[in-house]
Amino acid sequence: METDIVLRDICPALPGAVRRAVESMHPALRRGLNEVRLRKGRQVCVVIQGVDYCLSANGETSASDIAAAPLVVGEAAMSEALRLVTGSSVYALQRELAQGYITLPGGHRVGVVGRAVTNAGEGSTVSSAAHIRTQSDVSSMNYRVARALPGVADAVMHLVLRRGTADIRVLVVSPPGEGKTTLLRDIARQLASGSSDSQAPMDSSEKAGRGAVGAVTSARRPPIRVGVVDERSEIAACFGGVPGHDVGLMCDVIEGCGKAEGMSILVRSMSPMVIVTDEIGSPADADALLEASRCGVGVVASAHATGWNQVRRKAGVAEALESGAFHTCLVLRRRGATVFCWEAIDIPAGRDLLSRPVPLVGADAGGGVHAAG
Amino acid sequence: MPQVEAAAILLKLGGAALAVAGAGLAGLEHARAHRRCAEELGRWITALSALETEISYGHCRLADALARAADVAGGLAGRRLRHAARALWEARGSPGECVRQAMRQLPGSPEGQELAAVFTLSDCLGASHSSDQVRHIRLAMARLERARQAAEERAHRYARLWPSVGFLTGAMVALALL
Repeated sequence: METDIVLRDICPALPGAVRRAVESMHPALRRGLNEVRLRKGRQVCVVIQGVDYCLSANGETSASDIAAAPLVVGEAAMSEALRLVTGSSVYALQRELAQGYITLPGGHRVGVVGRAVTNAGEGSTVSSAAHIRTQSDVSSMNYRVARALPGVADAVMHLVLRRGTADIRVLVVSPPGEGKTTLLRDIARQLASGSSDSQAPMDSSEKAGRGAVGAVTSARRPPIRVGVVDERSEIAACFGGVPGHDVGLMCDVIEGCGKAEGMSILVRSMSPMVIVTDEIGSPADADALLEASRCGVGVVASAHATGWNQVRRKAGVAEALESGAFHTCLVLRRRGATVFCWEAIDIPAGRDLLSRPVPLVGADAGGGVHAAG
Repeated sequence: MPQVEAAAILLKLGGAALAVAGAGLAGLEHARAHRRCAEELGRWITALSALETEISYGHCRLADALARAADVAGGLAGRRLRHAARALWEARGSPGECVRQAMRQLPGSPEGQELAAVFTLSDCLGASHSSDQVRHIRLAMARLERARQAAEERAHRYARLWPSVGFLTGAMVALALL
């Protein structure tokens, strides 16, 4: 029987009334749950298959405000939520709180926003997260359910490997919550585990979507050494040093440190063939990516953007693109419950490699990639 | 008849000896309780010192930090802290609730007023950043140190008094019996 990760990982970190409401939800709805949003003084909202709903105290959902049995988040509930999420250890999570998120066991990220406490004094205007010491008076929390979907990268592995395992330089792009992390995790797993002859054959839509790339050999591909820089413990979700998600046999994970430092440490100490990292965006990240590719190390990274035109103008990523740190850009887009690989840009040629969008379908739910980006 | 009288005298002497010994031991135990209270307060100070170190490093969660402090402290303080750590791991409540639970489950000296500093600290434990936590812990340690000094003073003062009172009370009971 499939484990309900919402009951297992998310519910213990929810305040009492919200926990009971989520536990009362219909199991089918809970399987599609992407987010639980707590906003102080307002009704609890949930995101199911990408659509926002209000949640009632008895676990029912509504697209608008709930009049009967509304579930409103009070001061005590918010304090309890913060206590449960931090394990009563705010002092140990200062860095995470300053950056606005805390990662739960299982790789589920809880976004936290409130009043920023800065080096200049509480609530003063800041231009950079480096000046934020922590946050107080938490006003909103967003529990994002991270689901491992083994096989979700099947439809794009031929694009990742289009220049062979010796030259993997792929950027995955989408707006937040559209499955970048889920896809990166499965790419890491597939690279680090290799493939066998018995791997599932392509379905017809995938074949059609391949367009100009053409067929890829189905011969066995040996595993390669993959290094994951998991700054927010979302990709591998390590707990006590053991990955909580399957990231493959030959995968080394460094977590909790910045991407640039993490990449540098991995290249020096673990000699990976490919580095996988999430959400690049600073000039330091771009430099580290370039440095890694100069060292002959492949890179699979993700960035927030709505599409190719936006990401190529985005500061921090544009430099990496111009310097040739990537040769392929996969653009993800959600349509209803399913996430598609909408475009696959051959960066040097500037053309789309797909004739039509390819759905990314995971192995467990039969649906698309759940919000995990 | 003389044998019966002799037996009655022996019985009285035995009862008198028992009364003196019992009352004397009770006095000794009372004096020892004062000393134990001071020692336990010392253990709490040691535990808080270890907790301060763990929290200032900022690496381990509060439940782990409490468990490590419990290992350092030992004694009843250690057992109480370990109980609180376990309750916190099982998310049975806030740190304050978990510490109070532990005190209820494992009664003994010191308690109540003498550990007021620990109760006050436990209500804000883990709820703020490390420098603030360290400040709270040091304040609690200072209050515990004062309580320990007072307990030591009491223990010193009563170290001879209570055994003497015990033995004297026993002697008076013995005289009354005889």
